[in-house]
Amino acid sequence: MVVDYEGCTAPLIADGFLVTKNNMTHKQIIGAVITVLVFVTLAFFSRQLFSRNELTGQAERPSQVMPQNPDPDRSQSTAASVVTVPDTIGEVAGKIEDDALTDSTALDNEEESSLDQVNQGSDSVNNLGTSYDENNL
Amino acid sequence: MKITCKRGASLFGFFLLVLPMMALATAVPVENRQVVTEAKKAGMPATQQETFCSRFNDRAKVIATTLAERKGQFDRYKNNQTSTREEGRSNRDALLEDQRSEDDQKRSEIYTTLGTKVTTEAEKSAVADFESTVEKAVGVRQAVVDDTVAAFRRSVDTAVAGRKNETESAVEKFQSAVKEATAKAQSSCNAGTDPALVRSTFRSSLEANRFVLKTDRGAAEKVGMQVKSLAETRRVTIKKALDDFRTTVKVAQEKLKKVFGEVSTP
Repeated sequence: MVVDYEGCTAPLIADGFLVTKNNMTHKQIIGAVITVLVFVTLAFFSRQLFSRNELTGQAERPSQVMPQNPDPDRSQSTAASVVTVPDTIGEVAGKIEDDALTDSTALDNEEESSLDQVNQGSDSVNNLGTSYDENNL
Repeated sequence: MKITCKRGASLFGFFLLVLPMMALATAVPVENRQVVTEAKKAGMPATQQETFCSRFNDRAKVIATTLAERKGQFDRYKNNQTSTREEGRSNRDALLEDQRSEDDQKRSEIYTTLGTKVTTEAEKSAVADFESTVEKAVGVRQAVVDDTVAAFRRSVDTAVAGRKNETESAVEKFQSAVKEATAKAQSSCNAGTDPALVRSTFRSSLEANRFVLKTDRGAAEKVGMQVKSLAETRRVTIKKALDDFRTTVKVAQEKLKKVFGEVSTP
């Protein structure tokens, strides 16, 4: 390979290497290119690793959370089982009326669950309609 | 090969600009690149029309596979619908039972505490009356809630069953219509019909089928509205039961206060 210093006003020879006007030797140019290549390769692998972590993170997140609180309803009810006995008769009614909360949410839970199931059915029908895109044929 | 100073600098600059772009382009997921390619294709209707028949087999396979996969999902939902619903109900019943047991325990401790305050026979009798009245009211409240929830479940079952056949037949009709349109397009292609005409007819059929499915799908959404309406109606019954319970407990408490000489706060 011949290095031509056309356009460079003062080529020098130092330590056996050709030196440009900008004092950039052939070796330095190669070094700079290699540095850029290394940098780009590292950026590529970092990005790949980041994308993989994003994907696996989505799958792992629920399993990381679940064991901490497997059944929130039960945890709530366990916490509620710590009884504070009222000091006065006036407080008794209030404490006993709290029981009603258990029954008042029963129908709400039924409704929510039924609607979830109905929506699942609706979604599965909707999915069929998106099996194709007629505009892309 | 000659490398001049300027060329060397230009080469370096070129690498600096192009390589990161190449690296990022490689990092873009394959699916995204396919989407871009598809979008480009969509912008070339003339080419698409000309090559429609030659590409048809592949297209038809993709549509058939996706449709079969999604029909499978619908079938799984349909087949497991009843068992999933029953399983959810059993779980909620068990949870309600657990919570009620805890509430029983709490009330029992309250009665015990009241018992420790008793100093006369009248107070003892008043506490016993209070306990009896409250327990009876709790029983009535729970029975009303249980009956209401059971009635709600029956209504939901009826509503779902009423729309089940409509939804299933809509899905079957859609699947058959897509298969029929595909077969017709294939046949037209084989017969040498103008690919542009075959494509246009096929697209119109698919579009119409989707519209019919969307309309039929409204049946499932009607069930959702029915469920909300049923819950609203039943909620009135539950509210009355809870109000009655609170009133009974309040009255019993006032009686107890009088016996114990505790002053009521307004």
